[in-house]
Amino acid sequence: MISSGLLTTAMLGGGHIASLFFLFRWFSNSDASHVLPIGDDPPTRRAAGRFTLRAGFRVALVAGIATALLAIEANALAAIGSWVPGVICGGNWLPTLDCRLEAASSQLGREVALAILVGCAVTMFAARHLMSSSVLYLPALLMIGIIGFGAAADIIAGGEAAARPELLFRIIAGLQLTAAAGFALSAVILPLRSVTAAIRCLLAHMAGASVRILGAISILALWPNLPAASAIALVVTMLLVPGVASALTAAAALATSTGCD
Amino acid sequence: MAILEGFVFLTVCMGLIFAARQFLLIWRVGLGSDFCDHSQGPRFSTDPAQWPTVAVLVPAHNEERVLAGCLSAMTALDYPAAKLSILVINDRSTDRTAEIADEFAARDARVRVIHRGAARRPGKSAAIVDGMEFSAAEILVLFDADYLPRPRLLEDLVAPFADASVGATMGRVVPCNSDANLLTRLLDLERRAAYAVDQQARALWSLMPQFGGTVGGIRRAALDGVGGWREGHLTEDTDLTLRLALGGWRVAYLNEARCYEEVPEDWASRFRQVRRWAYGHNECLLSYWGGILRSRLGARQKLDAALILLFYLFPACVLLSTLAIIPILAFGSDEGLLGGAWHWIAPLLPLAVLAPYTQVMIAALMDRQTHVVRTLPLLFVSSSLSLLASTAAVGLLVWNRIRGRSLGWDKTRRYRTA
Repeated sequence: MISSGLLTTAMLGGGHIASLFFLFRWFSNSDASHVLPIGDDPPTRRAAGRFTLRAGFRVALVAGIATALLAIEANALAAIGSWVPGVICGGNWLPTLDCRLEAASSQLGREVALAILVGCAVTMFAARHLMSSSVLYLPALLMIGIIGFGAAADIIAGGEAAARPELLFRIIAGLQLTAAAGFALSAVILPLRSVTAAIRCLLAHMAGASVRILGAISILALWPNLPAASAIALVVTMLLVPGVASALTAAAALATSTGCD
Repeated sequence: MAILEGFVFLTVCMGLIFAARQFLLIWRVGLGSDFCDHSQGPRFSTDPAQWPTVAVLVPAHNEERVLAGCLSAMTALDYPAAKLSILVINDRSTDRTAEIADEFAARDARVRVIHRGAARRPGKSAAIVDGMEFSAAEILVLFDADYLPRPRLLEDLVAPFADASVGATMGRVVPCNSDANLLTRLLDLERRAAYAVDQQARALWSLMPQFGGTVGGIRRAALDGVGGWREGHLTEDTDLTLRLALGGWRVAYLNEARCYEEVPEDWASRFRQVRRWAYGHNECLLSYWGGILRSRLGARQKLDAALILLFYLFPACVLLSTLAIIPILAFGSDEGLLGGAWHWIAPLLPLAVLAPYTQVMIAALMDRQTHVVRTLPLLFVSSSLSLLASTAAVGLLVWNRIRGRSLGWDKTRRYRTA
């Protein structure tokens, strides 16, 4: 039972990391030049921005769609999350904050923390040898360092109790709200030149939502087995940071739709 | 635990203020650019003889890879020849920098080379101080040795000085190697937001656009009036910006006066660059905090100056708060300061987090290059670098202050050849 649960958790976590890899790879692929021309043309005087009726309608429409996407993501998480043993969610339109996780905490908190700390050390060693010249090296070290810090805090504090599950659901809810706001800002600011672009934008946002849900589910499945500080550290590094990045998937999709302006 | 919570709470509040500022600047820029159009302000006469004398200063330390290209561009600058001098300050170079500079001096009478001896104090600011002694020009324009100004750039940088209140001008630096790799593309995004939105909006609102120490001009009289160029300062540009503001001078930002520069292509160079900036910036924080508060600047300018001064302390606070929040959330309860403030902080955090990304989107839109936004979600990569470098700088500053030492000059690596 324990080993199948851990296997499922490992698969979910692996799936989350793999999906992040593909998503970030897509973000970083860019054929068009990023160099801004600095010609000798005289500066053009930009027209002052005006809040027109059309702009107001667009803002209202985007806000409505963003709210709907927020509700869809929250309910999707509640529905999928209910498959995780112990997760119970409410029935309102934004169920995330009403979710509870009722599962017995692991009694091996300190041992788990120690294993995490050793894992961090090994990963740092591997990173140093495999990716020390990569731009991702320092961010990776930062993430590993934060996780290691959490594990060390657990070892010092005793590591007996799991973190309060409501913290996790608050953070997930905050991330969902950030994603909705990210979609809204992207759709209002960036040009939307065609229906195809709008559809790509929506699909991209949903892809980002899928990645966030996968991450949330994998952390939920792992939560009862994690000592408190390690759990918080994992949430910050594996959920929050990539989650904010995935909140701008719609912006990236709109950018690819515009091509060179 | 209460101390940790208080520290995290202060950091969150600082973050909310920075985010609010970013959105306000975005809003101001969105209202339209009726500003940096200097055709509406005082103008120099169309007679070139009436234009001010200009000395272009190019400090160069081991710049053999890029100096020839830079000086070719400098000698092609469109400015009355009799009013222009180009001073190359060879700062104790050990490569062919001196030879290349001397070749240009032999070909063009406007070019003059100053060779600093090995005994002279190292660093860009010290080199500039030495160079200034050899010029009596009314306007000093600074360029780094890897810059490639277009012919009209000098006229654009000098034109605002027709307004007697302008003490310095600042153009926009544009990365020429943005396509090199992911890091350069991310740095390009940061530069866009910093110039197209941040600097522009601050100029629009008569706040404190920053003089960047390159692609910028300084009125000699203003410089002398605020104590001259200071040696030994790692961020002499920030230092001068604050002194000019306290001296009642204005910095005119010119978004269309663009010049190419190189940004670091590897993380180690970028780390050292940000560490240097953060170190110098925080030295300015210690030097000017009281002066700014006691000054006769307006409330908006004081607030802007305060946020400028805190700019490189904030990342260190963010990193330390991230570490502090782990034990707070893990072992604390909802009864503390953060638990009580959570309900009004929580709805604001998503927008606060998205503020820098929004600034980049607006900048890309204004530049008519929204395709660059594809890389935007990965901005956390370069931000992590800056976070670590800024924190390292704060730690180093504290350590050096205790030991009575200072951080030495660290030259940014060049990638382009000629």
